[in-house]
Formats: sequence, structure tokens, C-alpha cells
Amino acid sequence: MLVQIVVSGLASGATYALIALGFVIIWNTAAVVNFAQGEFAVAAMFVALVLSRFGHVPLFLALPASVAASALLGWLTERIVIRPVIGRNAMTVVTVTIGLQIVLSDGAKLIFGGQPYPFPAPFSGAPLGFGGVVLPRQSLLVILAMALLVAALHAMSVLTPFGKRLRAVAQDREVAAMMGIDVNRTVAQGFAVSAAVAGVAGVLLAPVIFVSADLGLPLLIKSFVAAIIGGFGSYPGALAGGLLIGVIDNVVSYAVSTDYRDVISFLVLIVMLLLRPTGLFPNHR
Amino acid sequence: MLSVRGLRAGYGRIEALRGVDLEVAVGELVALIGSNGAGKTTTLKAILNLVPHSAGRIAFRGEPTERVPPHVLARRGIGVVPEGRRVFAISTVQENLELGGLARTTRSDARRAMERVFETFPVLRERRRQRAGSLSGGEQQMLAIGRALMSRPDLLLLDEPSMGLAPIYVEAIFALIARLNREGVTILLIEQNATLSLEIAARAYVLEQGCCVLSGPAAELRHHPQVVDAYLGGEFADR
Ligand SMILES: Nc1ncnc2c1ncn2[C@@H]1O[C@H](COP(=O)(O)OP(=O)(O)O)[C@@H](O)[C@H]1O
Ligand SMILES: [Mg+2]
Repeated sequence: MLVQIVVSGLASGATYALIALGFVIIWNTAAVVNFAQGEFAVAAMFVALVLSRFGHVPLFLALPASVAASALLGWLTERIVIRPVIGRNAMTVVTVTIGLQIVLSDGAKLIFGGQPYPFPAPFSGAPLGFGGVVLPRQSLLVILAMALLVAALHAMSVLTPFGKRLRAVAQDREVAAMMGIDVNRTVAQGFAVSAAVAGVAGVLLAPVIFVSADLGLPLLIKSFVAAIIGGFGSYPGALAGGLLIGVIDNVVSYAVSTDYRDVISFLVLIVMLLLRPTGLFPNHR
Repeated sequence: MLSVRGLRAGYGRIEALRGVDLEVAVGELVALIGSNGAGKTTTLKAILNLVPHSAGRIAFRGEPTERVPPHVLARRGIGVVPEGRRVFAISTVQENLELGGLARTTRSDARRAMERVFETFPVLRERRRQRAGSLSGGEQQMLAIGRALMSRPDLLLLDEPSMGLAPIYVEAIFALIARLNREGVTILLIEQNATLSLEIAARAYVLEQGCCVLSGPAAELRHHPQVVDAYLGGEFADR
């Protein structure tokens, strides 16, 4: 039983971890705390929902299309919302991203109303049994997808010219420009990648929850907490933090009550900040 | 190669440059000397369009650089060794060099350029898998120069490359700058160390409070009373 609870906790934790990862990508490349990160995930959910449920597009096409759509949203966010205020004081930039969060979630509410929509599961079928432990297919899929995506992102960051440009900009924008790197373009691409990662989290999460317009904020809060627990700016930290939050959430919901699952993330955050204020992986990028 | 006329620039209401003129011809090594806060770094940043200028004209290879963004200037052949080295600390030595070559070279060009950098600075080859932040100050300066050389620049701008270095490194860095110039790189050297700069430069400008107060052949400036008093430590200068 405990194994099952931990595995499904890891599955929801994997989605928080991915959103946190996207969040950290933006923080590292643009020094922007993006409060609209959860909305990138929600946007992908709705695009997938509209395409598959109302447009009857098969899921194997609808899912990549929705991830592409959130990448586009991330890119547009940088071009339209962030670029005009980049370099202003931190409060201005934060206020702008909070504004964007409100606009996007209220926009979704205007279009789709406040009600929840069920989302078709891509891999239905009986749960898989492993020596007496029964695990839902979607949970395993989510964990596997997260692991693959993280490996791919790591490879991209270390091996591709784009990854190298991104890391240069993250470390020193001015010197990156002196090296011939188009900083604005790189940051916009960073936003697109970050939003795409959040979009993947969204479509992985969609089948296990009901899709609704007000999901963005709770997702943001979970991933924000995950990023802080991990040591703000650290990629392995964001992943570990997300998984940890997911597992603790699930264990507490099961052992105590679902009423406490949001309280508990903050409790974990407070304990972390008291015991280890630099996070789990303070010096890793 | 580079021409700056009547350059004025500042930060908000602070005027840092109040009419700077300077000229670097193809193949020259020109020094720009001045004390702390004179406006040397601001001149470099204005040349690169990293700070906006309120008046004046800048041309690189005869073309005005008015609206050319910094990264495009780099791709057109301006290499920079920024003040304080500013290596990418959490990247490895090799990654720093790759980043230097990213914009202007193909993969095989970059490999050859890196080989040349390693020949110039054998210590960088030894440390190529180490994080740049773990290098000593002198090694970081070599890396910063190597990184700028990766793009095979036509014009190299160096901002206080001797700052904070142990004396043996200072000598070595100046010798290297002189050698790069002999090998054909046009150089604008920004320095506070007037003694060594005037030894290797052909011409020099002296900047004070945002104005070019003196200029001329380095050999003449070495004996100019104003320079001797202000920068060469008076009587000890003429060793
Ligand atoms: N970012 C900045 N904001 C405001 N003032 C600055 C800034 N950078 C430099 N200054 C001022 O501009 C003047 C010239 O500085 P700088 O070009 O850095 O001098 P140098 O490189 O010769 O030491 C100084 O008075 C300095 O205080
Ligand atoms: Mg300076």
C-alpha cells in the first residue's frame, strides 16, 4: 500500500518538478520570477482538451500540438510582456508576471467557464501489477516521461549550441553579448523551452485530474515551493523538491486527511527554510 | 579600424564621457590610460553599444555602428576581454572557449582556434575540464583572452587585463598583448598601468574625467610631465 501511495505521489510530484524546472530555467536565464508558469501548463491542457474532445484530433497529435502551443505562449510572453520591462527593478518585473497570471487564468475562465472537464487518458487499461504491488499506468507513464524529458534537457543544455548559449546568458548577459550571442533571442527561446516543459507537465497531469481554468495558481505554488526547497536556481533541486512535495502531499492526504495537503507543502517549506535555508542543492545548476 | 568622435555618454544624469575622440588604425596597438573612474570602461561599453551615447560618432571599419547591437558587433569582428575577466565561472575552461567561438566560427574552425589558444596558454589545456571559477586570477585572465581570441577578432578591446594580477602574470600578459599585435591583431588596450602600456603601445590617449586630455606617440607620452606626474609616479618613472 505504501509503495502505491509513494508512486502516485512521485507521479504528481513529477509534474510539479517539471513546472518547477521550467520556472528555474526562466529564473536562471532572465532573472525573472515568473508567476505565470502554472498558466503555461494549463494552456497546454486546454489546447489538448479542445483538440481531442471537440476537434476529434487523435491524442498522439493533440499532445505534441498542445506542447508546441505552450512553447509559443512562452515565446510570446517574453516578446510582449517581459522584454519591455527586462532590467527594470525586480518588483516591476514580478508585478508584470503576476498581471500576466491573472490575465491568462481569467481569460481561460472567460472562454471555458469555471467548471472542470474530464480529460481522456492516453494509455487506459488495467493497472500493472508488480509482485503484489498494483500501479496505475498513468503514474508510471508520468514518471517515465519526466525522466526522459529531464535527460533530454540535460543533453540539450550540455551538448547543443542553444544549450550553451542559454547557459552563457544565464551566467552573464553582458559578456554573452560580447561573445556574439543574441541575448534577447536566446532568452525568448528559453521562455519557449520553459513553457514547453510546463506544457508537458500539464498534459501529463490532465488525465488524472479534471482540467479547469483555475489550476494555474495551485500548480504555480507547488512548483514555487519545490524550487525553493531545492535551492532556488538549481535544476536537480527543482526536481528533488517537486518529487518530495508530491510524495509528502500524498502520504499526508492518505495518513491524515486531504484537507491538509496544501498546508503541508508550506510546512515542509518552513521546516526547510529553518533547517537548510540554501535548499537541497544550493550550488548546482 | 575604429574611430570615435566627440563621444558623450552617461548613466542617467551622471555624465561619464564628455567628448572622447580616439582612433585606432589597422594593425595598431593603441593604449587608453586613465585613473579609476576616468571613463575608460564607459568608453568601451559605448563603443559596443552596451551603454547608449548621447552624442558623437563611432565607426568600425568605416561603417557607423549607431544601431548595431552588441552581439552583431562581436560577429563583425570586435573581440572583448572585459574588465574583471568575467569568465563563465560555473562552465568549464573548454566550454568558455567554445562560447567564445560560438558566434563566428564553424565547428572545425573552432577546434583549430582552440588548439591555437591551447598552444598560447598550455595551462588552459591542462585545466580544460575544470570549472573556470576554480582557476587563479592569472589563469582566468588567460582564459578571458583566449575566449576573446576564439572568434579570431580583427579588433581586440582589452579592459584592464593586468588588474589584480600577481607581477609575474602582469609581465606575461603585456608580453602576450604585444605579441598578438605583432601577429596582426589590432588592439585597443585600456589600462591603469601606464608604465607597461606605454612600453608596448605605439600611440596612447590619456583620459581624465571623461575627456581625452592628452594623446600622441607612446614614446613621447612616456616623458610628458603631466603623464609622469600623474601615472608614472613622478621621479621613479624614468628608470
Ligand atoms: N553603472 C553605472 N551607473 C552609474 N554610474 C556609473 C556606472 N558605471 C560607471 N559609472 C560612473 O561613470 C564614471 C566612469 O566610470 P568608468 O567608465 O567605469 O571608469 P573607469 O573604467 O575609467 O574606471 C565614474 O564616475 C563612475 O562612477
Ligand atoms: Mg573600468
